[in-house]
Amino acid sequence: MNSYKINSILRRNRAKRKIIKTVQYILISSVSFFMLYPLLWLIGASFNDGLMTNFSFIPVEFTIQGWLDGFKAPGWGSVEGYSILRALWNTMQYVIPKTIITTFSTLLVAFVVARMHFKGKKIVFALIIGTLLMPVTIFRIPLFIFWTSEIISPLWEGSKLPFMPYLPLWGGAFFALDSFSIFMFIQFFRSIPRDLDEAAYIDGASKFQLLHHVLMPMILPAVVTVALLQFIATYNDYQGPLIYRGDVDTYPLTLVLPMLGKDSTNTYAHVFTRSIIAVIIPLTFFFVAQKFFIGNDVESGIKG
Amino acid sequence: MKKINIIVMFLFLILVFIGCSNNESTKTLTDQETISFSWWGTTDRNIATFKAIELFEEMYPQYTVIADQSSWDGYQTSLYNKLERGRESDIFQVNYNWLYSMDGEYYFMDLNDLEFDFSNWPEDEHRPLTINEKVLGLSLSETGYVFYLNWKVYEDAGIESVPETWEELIVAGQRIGQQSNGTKYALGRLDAQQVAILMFSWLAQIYGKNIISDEFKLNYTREELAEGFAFINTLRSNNVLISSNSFDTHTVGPTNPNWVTYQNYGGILQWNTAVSEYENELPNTANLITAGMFQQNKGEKLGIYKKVSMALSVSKRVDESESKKLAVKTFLEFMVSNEEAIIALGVDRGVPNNELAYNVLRESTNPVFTDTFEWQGHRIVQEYYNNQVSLQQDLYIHPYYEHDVFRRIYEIPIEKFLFNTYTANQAINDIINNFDSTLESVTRR
Amino acid sequence: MVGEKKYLPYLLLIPWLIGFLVFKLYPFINSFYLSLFEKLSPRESEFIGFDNYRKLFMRSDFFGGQFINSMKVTFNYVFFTVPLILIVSLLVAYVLSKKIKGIGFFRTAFYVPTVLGANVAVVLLWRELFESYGLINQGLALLGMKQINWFGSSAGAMTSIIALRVWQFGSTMLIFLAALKNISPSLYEAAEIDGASKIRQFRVITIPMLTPVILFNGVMRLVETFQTFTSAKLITNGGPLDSTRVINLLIYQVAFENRNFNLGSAMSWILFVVIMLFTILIFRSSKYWVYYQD
Repeated sequence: MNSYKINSILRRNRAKRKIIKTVQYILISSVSFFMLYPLLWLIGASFNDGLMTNFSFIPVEFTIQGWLDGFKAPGWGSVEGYSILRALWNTMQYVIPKTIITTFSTLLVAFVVARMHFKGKKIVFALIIGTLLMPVTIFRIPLFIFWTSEIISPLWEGSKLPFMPYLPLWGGAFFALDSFSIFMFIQFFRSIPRDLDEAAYIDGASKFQLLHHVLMPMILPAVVTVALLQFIATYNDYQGPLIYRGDVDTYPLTLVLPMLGKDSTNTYAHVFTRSIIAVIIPLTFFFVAQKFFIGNDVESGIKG
Repeated sequence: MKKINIIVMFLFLILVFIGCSNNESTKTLTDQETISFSWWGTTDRNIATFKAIELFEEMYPQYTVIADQSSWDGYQTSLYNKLERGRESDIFQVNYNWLYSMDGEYYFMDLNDLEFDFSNWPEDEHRPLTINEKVLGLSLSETGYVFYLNWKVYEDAGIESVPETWEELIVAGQRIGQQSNGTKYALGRLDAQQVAILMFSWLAQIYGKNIISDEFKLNYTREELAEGFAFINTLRSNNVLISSNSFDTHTVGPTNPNWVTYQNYGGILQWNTAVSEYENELPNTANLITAGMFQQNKGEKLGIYKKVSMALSVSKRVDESESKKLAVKTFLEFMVSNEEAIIALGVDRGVPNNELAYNVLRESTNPVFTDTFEWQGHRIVQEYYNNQVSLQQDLYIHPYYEHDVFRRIYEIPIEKFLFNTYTANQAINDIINNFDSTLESVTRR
Repeated sequence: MVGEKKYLPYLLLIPWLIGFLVFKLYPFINSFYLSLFEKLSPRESEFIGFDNYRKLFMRSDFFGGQFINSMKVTFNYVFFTVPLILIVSLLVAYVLSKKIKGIGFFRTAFYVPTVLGANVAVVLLWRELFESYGLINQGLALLGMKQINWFGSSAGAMTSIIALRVWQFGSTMLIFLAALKNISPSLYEAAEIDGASKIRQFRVITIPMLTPVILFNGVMRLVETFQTFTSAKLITNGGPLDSTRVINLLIYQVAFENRNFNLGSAMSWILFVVIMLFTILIFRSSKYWVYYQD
């Protein structure tokens, strides 16, 4: 074959590849556009007085009333109505403890399993993996009976202290119940060579110092990921607060939002404004966490 | 060293002092008492109730009321939850049938133990609230299903007088349908619960029977039920009801755009105590009127089911403390006999049958209650019901008719029928097959 | 090792052990125990053996009928949703893995719905989208297509719920993306030299190398979608006509609204057994289709 023919074949191939690439690009772009459009629409709807009945996200009856009133009454739960910020605070009272405590308790367990030797390690590991795929539904009813039993319920029911009314939602965090997080940490630990440990021990470090000073910086992406996933999952938990409902003034966001539908005291702008307020926090956490890792951790945790 | 000792002693004394002053055993009957009271409601009711509580605390400064108000959604589950753990409020608002479905006999206090005076009420009012001779709830009002029409829809179609019989309603439906090319209806969308009552009211007018017999069995035969379903079909094919509930999936009546924005629906069938939600949503161009219950023949007064709408029940825990009992009794008496409180509460929980309260409301000139829709509906319910009693008909809503689990026995087949996924025959089969057995299992007979 | 205290690992694992015993093993057993009883009155329960289970499998019994319906509904949901998620995320991940410009943006864009999707506010928004006047129908109108009454039919209502879950394919996609990166390019180069087309390469190299990840993702999604709750409750509340009354919703209503813990526990156990069966089946079958590198 002469070089001219080879070149033209290569050129044709390149052109074909370019076309395919462009088509793929257009496809991906339109898919992502359609996926994100509802959110864009939501923003527009929060500025629209009355029902948004057109496809365009640009408000037809522009109003900022929704945003002005969004944080205040008419709110929920009492004559004057509590503001949505209160609901947000209620939510934080169990999301924050759960996230922080779970992250650290699962980290600790993973460290022990991945880095220490002891009899029965295999069994522990097997149990962790075994409970990984267990459907949580089966635990709900007995756990409910447990938390509302005569011994335990005085600890949290009707409590006026912060954090306590929501104890059933975060109390279990101390006990490293989330097997998926443990698993992720273990995988991460496994990717760090043991020689590091040896070096640290030789320098006279204790186990704690090893964990804190040497390994922590390396597994930081995993820590951030676990925290982020825990945060999102707990923040969005609907069935939990539904079951452990307390007094009205302790209602978290997930219970308040369905109550704030369109009625004689709210316009649609209010409803959508509050929705946006509700999603800002996890979204912010997500974007902040992004800076800590470039998306490699979730997947590399699954390696091997 | 010595200084520290003195400080410690001092602190210790303070602690002892605080501890002692909490000693309950030296309380007298006029001492401070706190009552907790929970109810459900929308903004109107909440404002009214808070006002009444304020008045109560003014008159009885030794009593404090802790109010626990929430929306309807989740109230029942929450209450049942709390009852099981002994964390319910001292006084709580209940629906009539909860006395039966929530083990009222076990959890609620017998109001006779409060030595409450029931003489102002009609004799039969509290009988449905009495189980094994224990009065488990204080009746706030009675309610019945009544038709309310948006007269504008009828007027626009050129109908001159309010229909009184079903025939007239069907004719109106045809007229409205014609004038609007099928987009408007004499009534509109009714859900399964409402259609059930409509059908059973229609059947009761013909056969004079209640839905559930005294032996806790279905009181209607297959043929009779078939007539009822055929009647619903007649309504659906004459623009009285929409022909299929799948065309309009708005399950919340008051905010349905077809009722509010487009005014395509000409009427609703609702408890007379629940009409204000629908009323509040209507725009100024609408014209809501009370139509009562349509009849088989002009001039009759039949087909009205009624029940106690809401009651106030007291926790059994109150029985343990004399001072609490007195406080609760005072509060309950205040709510139903204090003039200012009665006017503050208005007719939002319905029109009371307590003679004293009724008269106060009737004579009130500011605001006037006698022209409210609740009042008008109430009048019709009472009048027609008494007429039925004189004809030996007992159409009181059975305590288990609205039981959460049992009601699905008739509501689900009717719903499928309204969505046109079931024929009338299939619906009747389901109802007949499950009615008696499920009723038996929920009442544990 | 260094002279460490031997008991340290055990000490540190005590919280986990408590967690396992109190929050997992005990509820697991207790749940089965509860399912063997029936409540007669607030303080009395009667042992009825397997009667609860028997009831649930009888179509003629009211509760049995509801349970069988919910299982059907849930199967429907799971067996549409999981394959859809796997296919969509795999395809999108594949495209993104081919050095596309702005990959960071797309990755984030596809992941955002996952962050937000389970949020109650977004679920409620989703319901508004599928209303007869909602965004979806507006879009259809723009394209000149007929408007659909989504919540008026069981297929339409189920579609809206499936759509919400598939919208959140981002997390699954990220996992595929990472796995794709791990496939050594030399394999593709060799195939290229042999003259294999891109499609053939995808079929013969990409898919087999991804099978472990497909297995992992598939099982995780399966277990998760079997227990779906929020979307079914808030978007359609089981309707219309129980066509979206997934099993978790039914359990919630029976156990927490009707206060029947016994029947609810029996239902939970059957659900558990079903999920475990499918999981085991899939793992067993994996030796026929999963290709491990080592």
